[in-house]
Amino acid sequence: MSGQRSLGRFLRENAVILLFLIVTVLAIRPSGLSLVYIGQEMITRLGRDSFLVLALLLPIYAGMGLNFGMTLGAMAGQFGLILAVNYNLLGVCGLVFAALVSLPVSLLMGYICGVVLNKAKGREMVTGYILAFFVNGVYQFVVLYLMGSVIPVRSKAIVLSRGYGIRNTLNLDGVRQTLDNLLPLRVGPFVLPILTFLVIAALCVFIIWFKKTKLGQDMRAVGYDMHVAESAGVPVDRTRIIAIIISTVLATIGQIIFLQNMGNMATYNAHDQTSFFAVAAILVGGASVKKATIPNVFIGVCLLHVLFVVSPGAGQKLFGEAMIGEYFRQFIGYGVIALSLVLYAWRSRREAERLREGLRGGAAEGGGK
Amino acid sequence: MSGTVLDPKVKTRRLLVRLGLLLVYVGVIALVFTFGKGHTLILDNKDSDDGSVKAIESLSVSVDGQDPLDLAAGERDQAKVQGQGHRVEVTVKDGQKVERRFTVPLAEDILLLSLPRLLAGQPAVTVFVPLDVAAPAEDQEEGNSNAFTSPSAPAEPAVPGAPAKPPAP
Repeated sequence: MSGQRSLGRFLRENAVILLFLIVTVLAIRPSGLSLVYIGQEMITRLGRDSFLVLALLLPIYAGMGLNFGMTLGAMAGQFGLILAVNYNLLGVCGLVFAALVSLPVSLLMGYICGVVLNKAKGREMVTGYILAFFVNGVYQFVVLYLMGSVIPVRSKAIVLSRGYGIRNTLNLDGVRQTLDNLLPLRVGPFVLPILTFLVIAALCVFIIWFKKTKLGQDMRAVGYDMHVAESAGVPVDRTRIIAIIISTVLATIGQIIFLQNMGNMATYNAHDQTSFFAVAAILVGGASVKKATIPNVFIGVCLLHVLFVVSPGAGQKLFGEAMIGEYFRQFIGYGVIALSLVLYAWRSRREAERLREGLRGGAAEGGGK
Repeated sequence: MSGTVLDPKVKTRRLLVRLGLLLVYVGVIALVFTFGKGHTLILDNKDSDDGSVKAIESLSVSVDGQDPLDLAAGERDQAKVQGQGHRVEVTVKDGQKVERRFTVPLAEDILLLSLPRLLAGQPAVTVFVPLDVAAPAEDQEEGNSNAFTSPSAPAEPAVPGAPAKPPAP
């Protein structure tokens, strides 16, 4: 009886990850792709996306949910990359330059985002999502109208023919995969981007260390119960702002790592779905709005991206249309987010009911005695 | 916490430390800029304009240890370099190897390296001014036209030059 109950609980708690695992395993065979190819793609995408997904952890610890406002950081990173391309900076120096230049912008963005989210406590996710749309407008204004007219742009190759504004697509040849190719390691049929993995590992170590610091403990206290934390003397608003600032800065660096791996940048769209895919990945990995760990990040990135790799092939084979697989990606991404949020709400309600019943039972027992 | 009044000396010291950190930050950006700046080198094997130096019949040139490029008299090729100080190795037809070092100006993107002048021991690096060719007609109007619709809506270009799609994750 208790075994059945624990199995049921396990299934309920891991519904998303199990569902995803089943769909992914079923899609591998019809895709016709070799396991070596899928493995290499997974390694590449782990390097490409993990940093961005790790950026979501701190706001979850601080009880701010999934930080859809990380798009602001992504935009700052793109701004830095535009400047690096403009000045024709190459290699890792180009990436470091982009990160250093965009850092003040992302700090400012993170601060603004944190202040806004503090005004919307309890509705952080939707507020962050809409805030990203708003800042997207500001970003487009800067890149489309100010760059080349107010902000000097040296490189004619990146300016629109009208004389101002940046072109729709930027070629990042100068920094393309420089981080990935700086320290490659061949293991059997696979090539591992060791330096990228080291950067990701350093971030993991930072997060583990940070959780043990006073500020990290404050963040967890705020995430557990804001009112109790406030009563205990934790500066709640300040702690939440810091969580968002760190997340935004990490998203900036994550977007730079992501784009250097891609090798080109859709100037006006590349950041659109940054938060969306990062959130989908961490949820697929078994995280929830309230709880997330580092393993959730890696499991999620692997599972989501294996499905992304195999879905076009599976779509082609099963429905005779590769585009089905492309639409499937969107469907899966939004579907996972929706399912996770619904499950989270359902679990919260059940938990509340269980507590209420416990209290009633306790009261009845107490009353009987 | 906010009620404590700081000693003016501490305040000044703190301000100085912050200014110092800001300077270090700007310095690191400048350093990264200098080391990361890319230049295109036009490797030129032509007679000099004044006719004082003649093109070399055949040579092989390698910049900063890159793959060697073969150039006949009157030919040009290009190499991408990073940073300011560079080493060029020229192997002439008879097997004679010449190694020279040169620096390029930080602000210039495209430079012309005259190999005959380099071998003759004359100043060989000059700024290359490309012809002003009209940019290809591309993306006149851009931006994210679907910003107020669903973020998942496919960015179908209704007119030529509509926004590009985001890269596949």
